[in-house]
Amino acid sequence: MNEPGPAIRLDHVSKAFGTFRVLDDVSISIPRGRATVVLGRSGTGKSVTLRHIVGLLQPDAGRVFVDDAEITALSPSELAVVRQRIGFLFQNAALFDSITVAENVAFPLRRHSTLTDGEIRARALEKLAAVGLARAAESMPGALSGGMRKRAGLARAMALDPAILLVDEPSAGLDPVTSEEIDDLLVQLKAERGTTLVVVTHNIPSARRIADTMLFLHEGRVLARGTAEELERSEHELVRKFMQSEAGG
Amino acid sequence: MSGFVREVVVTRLARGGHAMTFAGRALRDIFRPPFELKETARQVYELGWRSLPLIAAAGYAVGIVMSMHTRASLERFGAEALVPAGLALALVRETGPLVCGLLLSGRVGAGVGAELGAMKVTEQIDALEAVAVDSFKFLVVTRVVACMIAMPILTAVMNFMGMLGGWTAESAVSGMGFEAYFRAAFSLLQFSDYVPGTLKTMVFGFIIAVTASYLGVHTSGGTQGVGYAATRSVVTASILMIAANVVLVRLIFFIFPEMAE
Amino acid sequence: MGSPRLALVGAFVIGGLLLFAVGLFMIGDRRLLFSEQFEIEADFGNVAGVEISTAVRLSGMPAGEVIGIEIPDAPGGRFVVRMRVREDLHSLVRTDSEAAILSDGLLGSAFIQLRAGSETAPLIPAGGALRGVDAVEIADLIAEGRETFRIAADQMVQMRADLSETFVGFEETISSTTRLVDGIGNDVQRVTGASASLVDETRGMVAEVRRVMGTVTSGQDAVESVLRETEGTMRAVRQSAEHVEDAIARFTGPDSATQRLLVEAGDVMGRAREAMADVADNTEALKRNWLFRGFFSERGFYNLDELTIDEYRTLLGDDRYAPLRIWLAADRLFETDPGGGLSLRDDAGRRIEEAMGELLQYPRNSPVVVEGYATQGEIGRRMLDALARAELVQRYVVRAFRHASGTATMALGAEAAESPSGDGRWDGVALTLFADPEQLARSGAAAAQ
Repeated sequence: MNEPGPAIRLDHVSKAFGTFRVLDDVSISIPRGRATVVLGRSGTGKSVTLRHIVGLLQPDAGRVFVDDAEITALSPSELAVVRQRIGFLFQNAALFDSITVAENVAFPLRRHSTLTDGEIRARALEKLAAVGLARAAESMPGALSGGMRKRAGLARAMALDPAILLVDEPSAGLDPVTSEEIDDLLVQLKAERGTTLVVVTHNIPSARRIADTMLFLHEGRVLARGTAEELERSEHELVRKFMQSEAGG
Repeated sequence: MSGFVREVVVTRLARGGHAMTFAGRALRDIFRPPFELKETARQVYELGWRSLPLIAAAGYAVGIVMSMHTRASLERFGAEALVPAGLALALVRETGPLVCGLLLSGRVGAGVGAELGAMKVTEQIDALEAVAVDSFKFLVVTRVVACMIAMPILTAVMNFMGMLGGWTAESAVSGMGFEAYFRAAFSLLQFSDYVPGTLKTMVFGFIIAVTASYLGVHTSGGTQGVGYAATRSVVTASILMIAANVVLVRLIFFIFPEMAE
Repeated sequence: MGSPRLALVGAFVIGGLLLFAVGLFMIGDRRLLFSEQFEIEADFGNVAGVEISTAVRLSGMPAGEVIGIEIPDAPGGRFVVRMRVREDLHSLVRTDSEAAILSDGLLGSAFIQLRAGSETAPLIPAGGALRGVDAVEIADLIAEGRETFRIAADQMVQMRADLSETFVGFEETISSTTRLVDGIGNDVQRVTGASASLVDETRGMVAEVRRVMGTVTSGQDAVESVLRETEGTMRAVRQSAEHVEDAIARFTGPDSATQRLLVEAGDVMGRAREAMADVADNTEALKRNWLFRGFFSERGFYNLDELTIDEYRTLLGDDRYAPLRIWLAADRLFETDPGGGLSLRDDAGRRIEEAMGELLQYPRNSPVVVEGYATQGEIGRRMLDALARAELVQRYVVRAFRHASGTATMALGAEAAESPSGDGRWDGVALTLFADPEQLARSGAAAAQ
């Protein structure tokens, strides 16, 4: 795990939807065991970048590497193996509506582990307890609040103890307090397990809490990269202005 | 041909081709492991078992009504004795499969279209992919298979309930016994009416599930898009099914020429 | 997915398959796929309505189905229909069994009816061939079935003769029974041992009559066989009627214990009378049935109104009915009263009775037509006169001879090719009797003009 080299690498990746170029020759390296926050205004390709990493989207040009495996060149079954090493927390948690919270968390385990039913259940409850949701295990996702959904989503994303966790807008739709709790959970995760975090957000306070490194995407390109302090002193006015907006978007 | 027209035609053709590819993939993946048996069973429960009350009630009502109509017509020729056989023939050959298909396309088409549409807009489909599950196999193929299993069974139920309804109507008029009625009902039926008539509903099931899945999986535009997907599923699936029925009937006549007397 | 749900799915799938299988079984069972069978074949000139899987019945009982139809090599050849028949019915299918194509009512589908063979004939071997009796199609009957009609006509005449005889026999029987019972008063006659069996026999007979008439009116069978069957039954009825008479004649001595039996016998006779009334009604219905209507009006026996004069004349020339005619001149029969009304002269009755006397030596059920002729006035006048004359004479005949059912009138105008006047015309009436030539030959009477 601690071999040298980045955990994730995007190599001259371009992606367009129709005539709209979302990513334009983007090259990114995500360091292992660190938290990288991708910043940028809405519609600048932050989420698209995340989706390229798990192969939910294929680039029009360029290559994507995860642990030196070229995602863009893998067969579906090889891709499935890589995906088990990646957790993905979606913007609205994307819990499966038709099964309970505990079953949502157990779902990846049932699919990809050789554990018995009892072990899977214990593991799911343990993951839920870790995000403070042990009591909601038997609820249906529809009955949960936004913050609880997100925590459950986090528990599911972590079910297989992935080395990499991708997080799409952790604070979207949450009040500041809840948002902070989620951020704390992410930081705690990184600290305890050395998980590589890639977080997409446009919420600056949240970004500051989580980030070791930041990337600023604008019009399909990486406009700036570095620590929070470095971005605050960026040569680009847009970046500086963005970093000052405490409330975020 | 103006540029606009060309664009519309090309877009339409592309969409059609896309849908055909989708259907082809569904057909191919039915036979490719891994098989999502548990999820398929769950879908058989949702799409098949839970459609039972609807199909049974509709079949019973259709049987009663058809029996009364055929009776009224046949009475004029003094051929009341043919009522059970005529009803059974109509039910088994066409009415049962088609009514059952239309009902299921209403219930399942809307349900699957809306469910997959909602899963699409709430990123649940992406979430499945992200946990390394083939969402096509998990969501689409399971529903297609479940529909293909449920349709012939529901059709058999509908046929039976239809005859039961026919018997109810008949026994009210002529006091005909249960066993006598069923014997009379089967007196003109051939294997070539019964077997292809029932099995062709597997094709209906395929069409219904694939159409609804396609429209559901390709939903865009949030909640409104979900409603739109559901409505379009029902309409498109029904039309495709009726069109396919015409082709199937020709095909069955071709394979079993004695049916087309 | 809990296990109760999984169980429901299992129940759903298995239940559905079972339901489907039951349907398959019902069809297979009907087609006798699950019982032992043997194959036979029969040849037909016409296989209208027969196809593969057409039902085969033996004396009405579902027996199998058609499995193949072989096409003849050349026109005029016969189609060979191969059938599969239940093995357990094999003992009834003999080498002299016959196969016929019938249909279930007017709208019903065709089926092949096998007639059980005679007891003395050997069993038909598997794969053996039966004689196929070609179907009597309604279309054929109407369009080209002259031969069938002729046979049916002959049989109808015969049947009618038998029926009339039976009616008379029965009426006599009933009146003698009634007389007997009345005469006894409180003194109950002893019923002989034979009378008990007589009651049963008569009962059976009545049932048989009803059954046959049921067959006749429901038209389930070919005309020919209906007629043949009716004929047979009526013969049986006649014999039974004689039996009844004999038995009643053997009533002796009073015995109160047997009174009940006697009453019962009277009862049975009452029912027999009812049955005979049914026979009459049904025969009447049969006559009016559309299938026969054309036939009867063509023959003119019962409804001469619908017969044209030319048709009637053709009938007169037909040897098969050997018409016997007695010519009576108008001036010796009729007188015109001052008001212009026509009436019989006082001595006309005697002349008519003489003429009838000659005819009555022939079977009394032979139809007698009173032909009317008139030569005065224009054609319309002549026809009216002829009709009036014929009717007057017929009325007398009916009154004097109780010969109502067998008489009819026919106004023929002036022309009478065979009249004794020699000029091809006649003024008066002719009594014409249509009789069976065989009966004529038996009675030894020469054909007389």
